[in-house]
Amino acid sequence: MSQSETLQSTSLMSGLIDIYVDPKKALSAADEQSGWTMLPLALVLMVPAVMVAYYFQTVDFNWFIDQMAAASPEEFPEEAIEFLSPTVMMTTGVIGATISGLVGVVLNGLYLHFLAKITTTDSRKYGAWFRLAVWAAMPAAIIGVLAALLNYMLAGTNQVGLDDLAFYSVNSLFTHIPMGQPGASVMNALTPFTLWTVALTGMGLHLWTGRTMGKSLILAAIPAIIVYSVWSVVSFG
Amino acid sequence: MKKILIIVSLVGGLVLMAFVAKTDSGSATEVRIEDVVRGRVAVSVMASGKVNFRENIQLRTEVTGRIKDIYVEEGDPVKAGDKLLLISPELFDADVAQVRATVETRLIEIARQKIFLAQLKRRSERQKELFKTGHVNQDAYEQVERDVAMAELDLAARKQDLKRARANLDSSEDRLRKTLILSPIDGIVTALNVKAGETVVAGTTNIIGSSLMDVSDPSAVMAEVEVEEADILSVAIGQDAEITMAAAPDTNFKGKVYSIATTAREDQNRRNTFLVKLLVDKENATFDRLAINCRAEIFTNVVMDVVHVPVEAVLQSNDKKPTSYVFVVEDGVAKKRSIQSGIQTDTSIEIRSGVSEGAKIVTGPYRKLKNLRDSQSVMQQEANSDGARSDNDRGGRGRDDEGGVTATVGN
Repeated sequence: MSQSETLQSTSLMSGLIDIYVDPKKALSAADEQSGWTMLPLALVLMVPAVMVAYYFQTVDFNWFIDQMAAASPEEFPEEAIEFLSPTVMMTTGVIGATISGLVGVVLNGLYLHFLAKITTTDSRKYGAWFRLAVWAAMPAAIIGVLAALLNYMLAGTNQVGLDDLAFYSVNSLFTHIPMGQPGASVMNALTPFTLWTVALTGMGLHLWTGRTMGKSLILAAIPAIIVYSVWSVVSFG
Repeated sequence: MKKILIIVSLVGGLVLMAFVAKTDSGSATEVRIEDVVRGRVAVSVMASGKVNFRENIQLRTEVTGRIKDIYVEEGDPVKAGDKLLLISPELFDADVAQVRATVETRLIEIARQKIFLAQLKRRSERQKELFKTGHVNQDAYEQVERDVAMAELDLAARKQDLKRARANLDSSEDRLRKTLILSPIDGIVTALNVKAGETVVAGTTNIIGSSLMDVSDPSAVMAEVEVEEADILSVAIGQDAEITMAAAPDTNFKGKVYSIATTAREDQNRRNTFLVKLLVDKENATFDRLAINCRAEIFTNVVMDVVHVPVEAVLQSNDKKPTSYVFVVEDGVAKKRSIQSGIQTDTSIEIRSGVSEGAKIVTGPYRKLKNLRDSQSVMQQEANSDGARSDNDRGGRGRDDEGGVTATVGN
C-alpha cells in the first residue's frame, strides 16, 4: 500500500484521535503536515510533567522521603533530607520528566533520520523524523500517564511510590523487584507501552519509506533493544 | 466499529494490566513476623576489669633487716595472728637489752636520788630547829633548803630520764616484735614477693623488698571494673550486675555495685574511666585466683514485665517531630501503628502504647520493612529464604536469632 492510497487524518485534532484508533491515518498525515509537531510534542512533554507536579503536591511527602532513603544504597545525609521539600522535588521532577521526554524523542528522531540517510535516498529532513518520533511516543506517554493518574486516585492512600504508579510496568506485572534493588529501575521503565511506541514507529517507517512492515518494526525496535539491553546489563550487573 | 474495538481493546488491556498488577503485587511480601512479647528490658553498661578479693592486705616491713625465715607458701591458708615471716631479730634483741639496761640504770639513779633527798630533808629539819634556837645563822639554814630543792629537781629529772628510757625500751621492743610478721586476718597468702635471706627495707614503696606478701580474705570477692565517663552517670550504688570471668566464661556471677570512684583516671588509651567496684555474689564458688580478667554488665535501668519489641521493628517518621511506628500484621496485611516507646536497648524497645502483647509485627528484613506501605499484604518468610537476614543490619543494630525476642539486653 502506497502513501497516496492511505487515507489521512483531516485535521490535527482528528490526527490526535486517529493515532489511537487508526494510526495509519494519523502517521500518513503527519508525514505531510510539517506543522503537526508542536502540539503532540507539548502533550508528550507536558502531560507527564503535570502528572509529576500533581503527584508531589499530593503524596505523603514524609513517607516518600522514607522510601527514597530506604532505597538509597548509601546512608541518606540529614542535610539532604532537610533540603528536600515537595516544591524542590516537584521542580526537579517536572524538569527531569520534561528533559527525559525531550531527549527520548530527539534521539529517536535522530536515529530515524540517520537510518533514512544511510539506507535510503529519502530526502526528508530531521524535522520530519522528529515529528514521527513525537507522534509515535505520544499515545504511550498520554495513556501511560492517565493510567498512572487513575491508579493514584483510586489507590485510596497518598502513600504510593512513583514506581508503583506505573502498574503496567514489567516490574509491577512480573518481576516485583523492590525499589533500589538491582534491575528495579530498568524493569520499572520497561512497559507494554514501549512496544506500542515501537509499533507506531515501525508503522511510520513502513508508511513513510515503503519498507515492509516486518523490516520496519525490526528497525524501529533496534533503539529500544539497545537501550534496554545496556540498561539491563548495567542495572543487573 | 473498528475504532470502538480498538478503544475497547486499549481500555481492556489497561484494566487487565491493573488487575494483574494488583493481584500479583497483592501476592504478599515475604517478611519476618514475630510476636510482641512481655518481659524484662534492661539497659546496661558494659565494663571490663579484674576480679579481686574484697579485703586484700599488702604486708610491708616496718624494720629493715635480713629475712631469717618464711613460714608460709603462696596460697597457704592462714589465721589471724599466724606467723608468716621472721626478720633476723638479733640486732633488735641487743637493742632491747641495751635500752632495758638503761632503764634499770635510771631506776637505780632515782633510788639513790630519793635516799639523798631524804637525807637532805632530815638535815634541813635539823637546821630549821637550830636556826630557831639561833645556833646556826640564816645562810647555813638557806643553804640546806636550796640543797633540798635542787635534790628534788634532780629526782624529777631522773624520773624523766627513766620515762625516756622506758619509751626507748617500748620502741625497741616494738621493733623487735615487728621482726616477726603475723597475719592480720583470716585468709590466704595470695602473693609472696620475697625469699629467705633477702634484705627488706622499711618505709619505701614500689621497690623490691618493700612489699613482703599479700594476705587476702577470700570470703568476699570484688570485681573492679573501669566504666567510661560517658556511662558513669547512669551507674549507681546497689545496681545489679552480671560478671563473666575469662577463667569461667560459661558462668555468670551476679553482683551489685559496691562503690564508685569519685575521680576519673586516664587509661592506656587516654580515655577517662571511673573505677567501679562490684561485690560479687560468688554463691558456692571458691576463688583462689586473683586479678582474673572479667567483663561486667551493670544494669542501670531495668523494667520488668513490660511489652517490648525488637528494635529493628520500630521505624521513625521523617516529620519535623518524628514519631515511632511499627507494622502490625492483621489478616495478612501490615497495618502501620504509631507507638509510644519506653526504654531502649540495643535489641529491644519497651512499648508503652500502640501495640499489645501477642500482636504480630513485622521485624524485617530491614529493606523490605522500610519499603512497606500501610495495608500492604505480607507473609512470614521462610527461615532460609534468600536475604533473610542479609540486609537487616543498620549501623550495628539487629539480632542474630531468627525467632523469639531476647528480653535481657545490653549495650
